[in-house]
Amino acid sequence: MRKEQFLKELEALLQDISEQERVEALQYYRDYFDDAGPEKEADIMEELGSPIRVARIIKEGLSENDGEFSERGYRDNRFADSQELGYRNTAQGSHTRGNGGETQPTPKQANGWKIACLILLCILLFPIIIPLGLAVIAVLFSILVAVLALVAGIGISSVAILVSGIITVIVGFVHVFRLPVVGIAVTGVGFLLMALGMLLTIAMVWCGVKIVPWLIRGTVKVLRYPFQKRKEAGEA
Amino acid sequence: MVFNTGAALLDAIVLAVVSKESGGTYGYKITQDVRVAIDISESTLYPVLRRLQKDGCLEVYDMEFGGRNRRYYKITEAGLAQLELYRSEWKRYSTKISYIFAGE
Repeated sequence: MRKEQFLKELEALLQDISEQERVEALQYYRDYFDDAGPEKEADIMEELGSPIRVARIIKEGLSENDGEFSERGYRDNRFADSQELGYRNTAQGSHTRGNGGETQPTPKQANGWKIACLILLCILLFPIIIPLGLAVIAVLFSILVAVLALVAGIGISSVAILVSGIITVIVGFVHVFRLPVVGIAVTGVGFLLMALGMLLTIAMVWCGVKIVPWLIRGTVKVLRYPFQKRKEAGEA
Repeated sequence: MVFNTGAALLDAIVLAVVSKESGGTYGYKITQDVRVAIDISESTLYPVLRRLQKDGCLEVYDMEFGGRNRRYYKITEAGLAQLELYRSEWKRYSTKISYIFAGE
């Protein structure tokens, strides 16, 4: 009964071809089922696939007849099917490949979402972020200024020590002839002061050359950090 | 099957199979005979037979068998000439391929 059902459906699907062709095709498939025997009916139907598929193959054969001598009608249909699949796959493949530029909108969209969330967060945290940010900047700035002031102060005082040392040496030298003991002691103290002043000056110059730029760079880096992080997130 | 069977080769195989039966043969048997050589789906052969018939290479007739009319296919003169052409072409082709494969 399934065979009859199959042939009936096939006949219905072949309504749009000429009567002669329909009769021919149905005769062929009826013969085919009869010659195979009822025990093979299920196998054959499974291999034929749906009546829709069989009808399509019949019609393809017919359209090929009217036109040119083409390979399509003769092609083993499973090969054709697999080839079609192959084409579809490559088409999809090139699609995805072509989408290379187009696939980006997805992460970009996600990025857009991220940015939107971030903006929302910024708005919500606005009353906190602004004073907090200002406070952080102020603290960093004051630390910078304090360090600079410290370095400058020590530097200036070291120069002052150096200068006072020189003066003390001169004063001591002047007194050496009148009061040799005091004069020599004062001169010695003056030399000590000069040495201390020189040492401190060198230390402060070194500080000014090495530490201050490092401190400034560090501060800039810290201040830039949130922006950089966002940029990195944007790039990722 | 590794090698694809082209249209002309399939035509040639079908014509050869039908020509073996001087009294004519029928769709189911043709399919089985072709399947000895190539792996072909059952639905593929009908369009081939129909077209060969239209081209005048095959003729059909109905004959009573087991209380019903069975359609028989028989090769025509034109079909035999076509088959001869295919045979000689195949010989040339397969000889060359075999020669290359032999690697001598």
